[in-house]
Amino acid sequence: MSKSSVPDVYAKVIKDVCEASRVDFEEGGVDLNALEMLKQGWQKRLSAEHIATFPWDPKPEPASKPEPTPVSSSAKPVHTLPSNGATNTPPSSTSTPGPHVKQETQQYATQPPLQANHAGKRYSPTQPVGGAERAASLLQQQYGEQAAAQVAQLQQQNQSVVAPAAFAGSQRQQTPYELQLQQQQQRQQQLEYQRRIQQEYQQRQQQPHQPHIKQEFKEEAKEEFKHEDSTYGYPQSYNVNTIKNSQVDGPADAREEYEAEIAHRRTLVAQHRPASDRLIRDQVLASQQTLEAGGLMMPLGSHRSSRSKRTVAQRQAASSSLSRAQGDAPGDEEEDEDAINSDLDDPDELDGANEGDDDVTNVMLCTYDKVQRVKNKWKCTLKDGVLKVDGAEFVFHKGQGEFEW
Amino acid sequence: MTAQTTQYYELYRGSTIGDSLIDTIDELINEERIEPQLAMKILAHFDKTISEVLAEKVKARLTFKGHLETYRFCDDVWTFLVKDVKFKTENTSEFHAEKVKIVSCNSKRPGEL
Repeated sequence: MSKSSVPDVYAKVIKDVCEASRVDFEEGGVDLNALEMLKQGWQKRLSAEHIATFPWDPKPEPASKPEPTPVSSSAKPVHTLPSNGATNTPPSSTSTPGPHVKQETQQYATQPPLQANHAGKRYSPTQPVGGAERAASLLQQQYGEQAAAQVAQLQQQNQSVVAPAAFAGSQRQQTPYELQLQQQQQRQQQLEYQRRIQQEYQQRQQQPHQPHIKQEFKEEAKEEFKHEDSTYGYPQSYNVNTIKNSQVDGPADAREEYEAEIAHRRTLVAQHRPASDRLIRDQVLASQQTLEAGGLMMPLGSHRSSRSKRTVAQRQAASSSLSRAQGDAPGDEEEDEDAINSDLDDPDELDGANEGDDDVTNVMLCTYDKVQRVKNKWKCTLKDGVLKVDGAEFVFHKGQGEFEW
Repeated sequence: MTAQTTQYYELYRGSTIGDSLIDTIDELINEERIEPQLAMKILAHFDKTISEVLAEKVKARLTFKGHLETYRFCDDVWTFLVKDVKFKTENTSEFHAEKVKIVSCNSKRPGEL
């Protein structure tokens, strides 16, 4: 027996089965892409078993180290965007980021001294620096006089917020690295906010009669004003907590309904998937049970329950025109009382044997020419077999077995 | 096995290649790419193909010895549970298995000579 022939044999089987099935696919009006998917999936699953190297397996590439992550490699230039602010190294001058990051770094260069002046004040990465002022300026640009009241409110709240913050933050001192991290987070928030503002502005121009957008924006602006803001004079940061995650271009209800529908469909799929999965496999297993005159090797205690299940599976198999092996049909659908069990069987032995069957993955499937016995010496002449032993597969044309019972 | 059409043993569906095919078919049915009736036809083709390929394309011989723990013969099917098995082949070296289950159908099908 040559193990190297297994990949060739399997490849030929796959090829012939697909060719033979092509006619059935065409007669059934099924797209031939499905046949191709069948072939690819079949090959993929066989390759995943790692029993041999198949012709369709890609050639092993030379061992290449996985790309190191940007965080782990300090020698690599850091190209991460501000969105990954935590991974950027503190000394921005030593890294080579894109021009966008660089500009912002320069722009924010004045911040450390500002923050040093306000070191006594509480500073939180999630809080804006001058965000209220930024919001106020934007409101003024877009809504003019209409926002005047809100702008005034914003300024008043800023003043009232700063006072308690001054007491709370006196104990905290930040390192330059932390400050820079916060700056980068603020830049990210600012970019997001700017993007959204632009979108809203464009939509507002296109559809001037959408009061709900305007209202939502106003509500968001109001929410901004309620949060604590620092008075560092930093105009380009924004508190991300105040930004709603939902889209502004439409009512939020539609998205909630959509998400609810998606969740509902997913639960339905999850409920029914186990049942529909392995449908054919169960039928085939049922036929295998009949092939092996199944049920006789099972412990007596579990025989009836398994037999009834098998009967159901067999009926299902019959209804789906699954052919059965070796004339076992008449007896299997009878009542359990007619089962040809042997009371002499030792349940303990059967249990041990069956448990071994469940664990054993070494199986030989073949046909027999002759099985002889002389006293306790058995001799078998086998043909056309497939053997799986310890994860390895073998095929043989002729086999000779000798056992002692 | 019916006498109307030549059918082949479904024995090999329990092999690795058969198992893989069934899993793939299951997936396609679940995705509603193919119908179960078509799946049955594919499996029938598989039964025929693998029987023919093993009979015609494979030439290897195998011998093995072990301790027979259980034997069964029912519906023309032999099932052996063999322990401490030593396999020998023509080309490869010996290899050993703690336990092997052998399922064997009659090579002479009913109605054949």
